[in-house]
Amino acid sequence: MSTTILRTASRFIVPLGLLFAFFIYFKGHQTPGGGFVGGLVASVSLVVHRMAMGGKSLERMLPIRERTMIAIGLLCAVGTGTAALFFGLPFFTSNHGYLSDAFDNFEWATVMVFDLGVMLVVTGVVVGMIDALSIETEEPDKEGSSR
Amino acid sequence: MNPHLIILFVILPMAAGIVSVLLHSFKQAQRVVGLLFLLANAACAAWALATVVTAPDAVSRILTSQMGNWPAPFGITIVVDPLSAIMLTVSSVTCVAVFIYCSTQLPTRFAGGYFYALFHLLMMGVQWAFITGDLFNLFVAFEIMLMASYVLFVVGTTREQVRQAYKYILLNLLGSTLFVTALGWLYGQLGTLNMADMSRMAMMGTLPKSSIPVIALLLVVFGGKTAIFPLWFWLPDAYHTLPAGIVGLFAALLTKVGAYVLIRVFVMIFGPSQEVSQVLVPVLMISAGVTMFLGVLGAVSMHTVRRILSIHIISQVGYMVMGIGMGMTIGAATGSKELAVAGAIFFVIHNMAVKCCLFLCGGLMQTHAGSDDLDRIGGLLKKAPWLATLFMIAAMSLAGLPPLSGFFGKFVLIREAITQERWVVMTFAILTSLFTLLSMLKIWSYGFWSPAPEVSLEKADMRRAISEGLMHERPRIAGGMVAVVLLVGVSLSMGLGAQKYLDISTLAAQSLVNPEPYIEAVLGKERIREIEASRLQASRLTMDTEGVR
Amino acid sequence: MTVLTAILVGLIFACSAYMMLGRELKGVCMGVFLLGHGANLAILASSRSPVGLIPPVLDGSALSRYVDPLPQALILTAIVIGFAVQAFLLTLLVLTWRRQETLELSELAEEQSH
Repeated sequence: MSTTILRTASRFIVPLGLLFAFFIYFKGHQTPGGGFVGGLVASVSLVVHRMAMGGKSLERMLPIRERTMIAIGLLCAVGTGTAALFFGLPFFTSNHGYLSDAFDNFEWATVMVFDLGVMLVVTGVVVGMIDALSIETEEPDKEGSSR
Repeated sequence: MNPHLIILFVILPMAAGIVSVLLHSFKQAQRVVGLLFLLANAACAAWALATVVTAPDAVSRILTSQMGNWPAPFGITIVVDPLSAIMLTVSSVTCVAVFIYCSTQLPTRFAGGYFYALFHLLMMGVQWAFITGDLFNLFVAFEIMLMASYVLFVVGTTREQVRQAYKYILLNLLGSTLFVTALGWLYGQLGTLNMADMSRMAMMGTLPKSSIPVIALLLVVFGGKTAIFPLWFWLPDAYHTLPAGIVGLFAALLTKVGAYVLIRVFVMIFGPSQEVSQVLVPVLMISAGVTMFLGVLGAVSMHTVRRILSIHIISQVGYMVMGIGMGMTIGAATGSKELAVAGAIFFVIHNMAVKCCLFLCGGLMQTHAGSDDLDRIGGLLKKAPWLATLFMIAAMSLAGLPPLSGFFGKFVLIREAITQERWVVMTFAILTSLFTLLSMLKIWSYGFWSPAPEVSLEKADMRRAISEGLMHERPRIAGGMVAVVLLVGVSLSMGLGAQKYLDISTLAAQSLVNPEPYIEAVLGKERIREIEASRLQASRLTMDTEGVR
Repeated sequence: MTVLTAILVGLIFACSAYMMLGRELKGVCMGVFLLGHGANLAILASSRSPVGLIPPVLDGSALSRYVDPLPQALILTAIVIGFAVQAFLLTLLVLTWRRQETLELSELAEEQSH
């Protein structure tokens, strides 16, 4: 799978893809986009990196394991919802407002933390899933770890 | 109590699951933290039950919270009414017991990896199903629960388990697909999936005729999950391959969630609609009779503890369905309907504790004797007298001997069958009860009473059982016994305090047979006025037509 | 359009039923996945346009341009759930192949006897 062309291209594709993923994530509050799609785009670029450089390299690149990523993402998502309970409001009640002119009146919302959680979960799930499934094609003789 | 806190029943197990994942390599910490979370969850459930039961009137008995402050029926609603509260309480206590059993008795082959996280996520799905106020969230809750159960099914697999796991997973996937299709169609017909809103339509008689086949399709879906006749074929093969702790959990939760949903959907939502009842009641009654009788015949013919108990789950589901059918009968007095549903609810909670307890007892028998094949074990009465006593109490409770909990559930159901003059199903219920006693005595006499057989376990088998962690030379069963004692305690409290439990069940049944308070709590007062107005109009119409005649 | 979609749904259901009746696990699993897609299409086809039902956020003026968003939300959720289940089933298939070296149901059944 790993050719010179792919390896060279992946140096551009991966950072651009990750950047684009964050763009989609920030865009997602009012317009199409959001954490789920952003997470998918991010995981696609990570998978491209994996295809080009191999699983070991991806493992070195990611600061945390996939399962920790999923757990932290879920904590973000549940935490945002739970925060509303402390104000005596129903679970998942969200709040939003605008940043100052210096930031182009950027609209912030508590949902963004939730979406960040979703993004982490989706990235963790997809990367972990592809990791687990492609062990088979890469090292057919090695007894796979059933993580 | 702040009603918004009822979401804790989803948050707590989910948080426990997340923490278990983060503590992946620390088994002992996972056990301690998991137990703490489960105890907190049980405390919350007891608190919700207390709030619901002591509330002054029917509407305030129903705690609702609108997710994200979006009003029903547009947003997602979660509701704890007396039925949810009692189911939550009993299931959370049962889960504590199973958790203790699993963390002490289950070999690491099964309880390694993400076992504890999956346990909590399964529970999250179940509790979510108990508190959800619309059918689509019910689907999501079901999927979470099933997903966790799929994985639990295949951890530490033996060959037989893999084969059965495929059957279980594929059939459940088929069921889920049918479920989501039916939901889409139902939404297309009714324009809503909110339980209170659908119930309102049923009360006003505005359910379109074309929605009845879709509702019948829902019966197929839930019937499959609950394992009623003729959709029960997946259960007996699947369950007996699992280790006792996991099958105890499944027996306590999975089919009972199905029974809960049958009660919720068919008694509360569509029960008020005459057209639906007309179609479904005969189906439910026939299915109930056949389910309970065939189930128990299957159980009597089996010869290993887990198989007997697995098939027994089916037979017990029959009683619940019988109660549901009688609770929907057109023309029956409201009091009789309420009692029938109360009997079904009582039976569900009794079954949760007792069935789970029997499976755990079976597991402990296996730990003692190395097998649960009744031909190869025996003499456990001398070897484990306390286990024998506890097993006997649970078994007799299942068979329905007074003053144990099973008796009261069956008593109420059979009495209502007599009131409604349903002689056939009543006969089947009594016969089933007798056969249940027989099958329980079979385990008792072969496993505990009779001397250990000549052809005991062969040395090789014994060694294999020990190496697989299924048997121990000197069994350490203290944790398992704690779990069993807890469950027997729950069952005894239901038997000796039957009046209290029946009162709560009746309270729950009242808000199901007449869902007006539920609708008011979820949708607000104006909708109730609409119902009243439409009823007035209907009565005027009939008066007019009579006048014309 | 609705008729065409209905025919397509029927075709997909038929294909998946045919695949599920096979004896080979890979095909059976694919059949189940296909069934999920058919179901999603069926939901989409059975959802109606919201004319006459006022959605909570609109004043009703631009209704003809909108479709009812809820069935699409249902489908999206169903797709995500299906995604998870498919990943799990595929992993299970891989593991089964690794351990048993067969995906024929009948061969799995034979091994169970001894």
